[in-house]
Amino acid sequence: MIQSLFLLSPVGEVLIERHFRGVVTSRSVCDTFWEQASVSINHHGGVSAATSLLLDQQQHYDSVPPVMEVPESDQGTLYLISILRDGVSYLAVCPAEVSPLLILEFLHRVHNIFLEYFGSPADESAIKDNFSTVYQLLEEMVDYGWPLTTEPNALKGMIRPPTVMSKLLQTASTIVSDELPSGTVSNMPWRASGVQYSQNEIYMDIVEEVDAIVSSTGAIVSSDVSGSIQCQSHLSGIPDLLLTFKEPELIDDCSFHPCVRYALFEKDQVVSFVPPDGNFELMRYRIKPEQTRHFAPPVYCHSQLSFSSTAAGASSGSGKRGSGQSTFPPTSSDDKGSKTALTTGRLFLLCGVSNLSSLILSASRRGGPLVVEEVAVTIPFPKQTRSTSGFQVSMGSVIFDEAGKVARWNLGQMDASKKASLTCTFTVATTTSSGSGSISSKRLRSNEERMESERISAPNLSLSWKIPLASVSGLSVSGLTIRGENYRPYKGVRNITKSGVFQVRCT
Amino acid sequence: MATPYPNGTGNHGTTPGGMPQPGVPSGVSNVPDSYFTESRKGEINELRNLLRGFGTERDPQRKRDIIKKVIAYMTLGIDVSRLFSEMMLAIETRDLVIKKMVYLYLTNYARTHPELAQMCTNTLQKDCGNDDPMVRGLALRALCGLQLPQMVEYIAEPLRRSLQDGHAYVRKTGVMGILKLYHLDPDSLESSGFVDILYDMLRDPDASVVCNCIIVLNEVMQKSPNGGMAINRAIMLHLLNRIAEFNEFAKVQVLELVPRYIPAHEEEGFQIMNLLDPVLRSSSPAAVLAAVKAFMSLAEHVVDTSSDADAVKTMKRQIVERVKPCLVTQVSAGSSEQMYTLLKHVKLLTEICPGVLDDEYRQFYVRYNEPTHVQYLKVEILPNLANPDTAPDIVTELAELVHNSTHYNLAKAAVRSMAAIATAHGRGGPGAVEAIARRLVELLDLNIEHVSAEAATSLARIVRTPEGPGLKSLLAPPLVRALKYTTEPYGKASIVYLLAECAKDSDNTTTLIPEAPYALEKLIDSYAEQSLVVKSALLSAMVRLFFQQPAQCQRMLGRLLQHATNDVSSQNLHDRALFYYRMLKTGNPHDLERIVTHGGEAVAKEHFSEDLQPEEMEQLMEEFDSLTVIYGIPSTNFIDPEHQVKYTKMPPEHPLAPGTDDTTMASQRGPAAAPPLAIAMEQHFAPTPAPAPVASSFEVDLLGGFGDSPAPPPAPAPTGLVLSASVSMSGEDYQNKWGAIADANSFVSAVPLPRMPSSTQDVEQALASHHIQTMASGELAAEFKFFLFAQTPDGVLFLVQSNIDKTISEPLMIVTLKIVDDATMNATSPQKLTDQLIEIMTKALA
Repeated sequence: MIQSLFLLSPVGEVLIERHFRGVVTSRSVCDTFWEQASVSINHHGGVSAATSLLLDQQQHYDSVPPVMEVPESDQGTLYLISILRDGVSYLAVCPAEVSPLLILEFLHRVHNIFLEYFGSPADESAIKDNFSTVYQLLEEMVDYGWPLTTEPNALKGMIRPPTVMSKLLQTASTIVSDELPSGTVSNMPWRASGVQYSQNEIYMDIVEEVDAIVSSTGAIVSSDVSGSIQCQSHLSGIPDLLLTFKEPELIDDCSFHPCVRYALFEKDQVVSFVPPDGNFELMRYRIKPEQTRHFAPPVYCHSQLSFSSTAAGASSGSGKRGSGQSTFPPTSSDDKGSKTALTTGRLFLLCGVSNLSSLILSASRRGGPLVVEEVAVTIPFPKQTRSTSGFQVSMGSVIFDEAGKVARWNLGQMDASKKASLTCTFTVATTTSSGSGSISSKRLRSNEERMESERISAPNLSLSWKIPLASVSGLSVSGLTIRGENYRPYKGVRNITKSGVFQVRCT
Repeated sequence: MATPYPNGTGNHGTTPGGMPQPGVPSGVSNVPDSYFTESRKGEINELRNLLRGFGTERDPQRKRDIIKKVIAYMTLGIDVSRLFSEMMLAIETRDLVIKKMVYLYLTNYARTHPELAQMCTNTLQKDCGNDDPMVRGLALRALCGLQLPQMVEYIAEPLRRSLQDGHAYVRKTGVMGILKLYHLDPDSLESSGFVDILYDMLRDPDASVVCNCIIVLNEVMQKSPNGGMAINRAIMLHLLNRIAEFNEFAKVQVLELVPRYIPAHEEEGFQIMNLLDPVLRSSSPAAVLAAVKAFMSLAEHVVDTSSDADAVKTMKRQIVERVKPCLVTQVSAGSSEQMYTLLKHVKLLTEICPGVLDDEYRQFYVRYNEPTHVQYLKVEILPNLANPDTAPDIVTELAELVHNSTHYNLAKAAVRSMAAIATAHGRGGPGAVEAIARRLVELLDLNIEHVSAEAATSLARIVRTPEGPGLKSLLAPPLVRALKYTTEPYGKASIVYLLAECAKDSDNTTTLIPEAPYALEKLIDSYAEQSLVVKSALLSAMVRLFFQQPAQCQRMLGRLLQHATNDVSSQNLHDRALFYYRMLKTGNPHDLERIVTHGGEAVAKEHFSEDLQPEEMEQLMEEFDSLTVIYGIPSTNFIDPEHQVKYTKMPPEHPLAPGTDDTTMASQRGPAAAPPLAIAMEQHFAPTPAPAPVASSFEVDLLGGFGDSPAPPPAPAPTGLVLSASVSMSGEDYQNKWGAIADANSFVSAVPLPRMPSSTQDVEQALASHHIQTMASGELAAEFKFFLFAQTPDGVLFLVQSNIDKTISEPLMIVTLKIVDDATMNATSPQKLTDQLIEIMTKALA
């Protein structure tokens, strides 16, 4: 049960607060949260900047676990369950035992609804500009601290999204007479009734995401393929769809959108459902491990990292490491007297498309060369990096985020004929004493934290790429039929393989 | 069939390409002016003027903007309560958006302006009868949400009407309204009969109404002995049969009822499992986890524990095996927050059912861009997944992490996890301990302060395992070197310990570290600079080395003892040094040798005191899918008392639980030779008078409504404590038996009395009629004293000493009770027996 919900801006001010249980939770709860969250901001030099190159679901304040307690509020111990999305922190305040996953899922849903209503990103300004819609939504989504109506389509029946049309017609009076919600089709809460399209169409993307850790020698340490079917449905009335696979036995484990009739899948391995309107995820699946065991990544990235230390200051400890290539990263010197040691790092990357990829290409694609799209390499430099210089690339472009110390090398489209290289140098400062005067929190003063900030590690690269019309598993659709409606919709189904969390270790 | 469409439309992952996006604007632009501009002085007055013109304003959009401005101020935390009466005029509108905003304003300020809020009751009540279900629902929610005690009388009637509304939206709002009413005035709820209506409404055709009923009933009945809604078989099966209709949040509500339900028989337990199986396919991790909890709780009811004591355990393993792919799918699919929460639960499962998740170990490899709290968790889980097949990979991965992690603490955690594999008895398979020790020895030389220190501490642990003695020659070489550059106290102390331990090989002849004394001598020289743990380790190590190499060590030890005996910073250290000194001086050195060299036997299986004990794990498992698992401690330890809920399993009529065996009870009652009077203990099993009739009447109702429901459960068998009528005992016997049981094993309870007894006779007679005999009694100035006893036909003897304080106004009999159970066959726990006897006494004295 959620006692209160707070939405905080990227600088920790309260954007929206809502108390569901007739008890007003003091804003000091947010202060406690922010005090802890801001530690990670200082650490990385601005969270919003650091996360700008990361995927949405990887946003987090490192110093705040998703569940944290506020021990001595005026209402006893309170528990804060939080997420960070598009720079906005969503805080659910709970006083009692609760399923944390339920609350997390609810917060995710709130954010997703905001995305549906206000578009992406649902950031501070989107929320500020639409605050009255936000209040209306929260009013319908929660009653007395419990999730109430959370289905996008059901909500849209009750609260009209600020669409382009309504924006344009903002001054016209017609818009105000909001149509009243038609009775919800209660056994299908995900689908609004009376949907009409002049052109009926449904698109399905069978997306397989490859999560992998690749060692510096190119060997796969771990890999995992998770698939999902993303749909966009614009179909009139109440269409009843039946999706069949060519080789359903490829699927090891799966989870479904509530609209799917699970029993039929269990019996006949067919996916039978009445789709929600608009974008939705029909199912997620995992492939049998034996299918992925021989998976060879389509893109490789070799790295070479070397350090040479140029002592600046009375450093003596770094002498024993010498210069030149080292197998592990240098550490700060033991000598308490030394102040700053500058180490120069040299990074060389070679990136290309592998000929030996084990991907299964769709029929229309076979024969041609393997083309990989949206290839990019993200290079998180050590936190202590002072400066980077001399980015030289044989193709693509590099952007460097100074605050987050992250570089992104965008390579675009590649095939096996191309090889791309990147070189750069960077300097790393290793300090052993009182360099952290600007950090206000006491927490950072502790010895261990100080040590923490000194360790320099080799960056772990993350690769992203996308290959349309290809699949790891070879899962493909053999048919998509529609019942219950008379029209013949346009149907589009395609396979996409792309990188999930794809990391390459660099030593 | 399906037409592939051309690629290269450049769309990003999750949106299928090739189609124009629906018209969702950025939401940022195109807003006339921000509502969040700084408030200037007098702006509230300006708003007031605007609101006064509200009635004459013809442009609906401008109307909205005025109200929006007020709400914007409210959002900023500016007090706009002065506009209350003006805002109330705006409530009369057909514009739903304005209505909603005014309602929001109203609920926000009602508490501070109760008299003004009361003025709009009429409007709200009228809106509750509006043609539009949306307006009806909103008005009802606002009405109940005002939270004003004086409003209770205005709420009840619209609330009652709403529960019969034709529209589900109004009904579910009404159900929630009952909860608000309950918090406003618990008494009025009791008299209104709303609870009965709610039980009836569990049959509502709309699943979200049903879900709200469950939520409200659980909360309203929270303080009842059930700890929530009363459940019987009909209710449970009805809800489970509809599980597919509920959305993910509602599913969790239904699933949370399952652990509180006792299936009628094993067959039913399996039926429920089958009904719940589809939930595991849900895309919602919350629903999946709630289903896992339900499965685990059912495990106890679907197996026959009499033939196989480990049956429950086996069942649980099978369940974890079944849910494993679902959990792994959820872990890899979810956000980092969900991942963290799920991993906490997975960790508990790996501890309860070791081995089941082993083959998924690669899922738990750390990725650098994960939050550190997720990384730590993964590192903690990995050793739990080690078996002879997986251990080599896991150790390699952990070592990789030690070398590459940017976080010192994570590197240390990885070292600890490696050691955990080595010290977990035989988990890593043959050779694993040595392989891990080798890696740790390498880390000693890594010259990364904290990592080396942690490695030293881990090695000190490993050397005590059965494989430890064989590793000494491996550990010895780097120790002297490591001692030089380790400064972290615990790491240093560990190296000192290892120096003494590994100075000689396990055969006790080969000297592995001849220079060990000299390495330690440096520490003796700088004794004052060392921390306490190092000093302490140094003292032990030096004494041990002295017995190995007396010639080299004698003078050093002398100096160390002198330092230590002069050291007043630690009493313990000082005393220990003095003790060693005297042992050596009084010419009894061999006794000391025996003390300090522990004889070389290794710790067979290391138990770390911080590890969870099986009982604790069971306790956590009972509270699976909750904050308890996140914090790793039972909720009673951290949730504020007012929010603590303790539920009882229900229903009691058809328990499979041990200790309440119907047949033995029947056979006891059967022979009429002795006249044991069976006292039915309904009170004990049907704790709330309130929900019981509701539940039973509802059951009949439900069964009428659902033809396919199973037959009603068997009638409750009277169970309880039977006392023998004629028991005799001598005073001496009584005293002996009383004295034989330690006071610590006695139970203390209290029996309330309706009035103060006039004499001991009253009490004795009343108790005797219930077969509780009096050994002796007496009346003192301030109290009555009684020595009582009673016995059951199967030989359980109760000895009772009790007293009644005459001075206090509320008469109360304080009872101290000891149980002599020679048979020890009795399955009923002593606590239960005590409760039952107290029940009898309460009845007798009532």
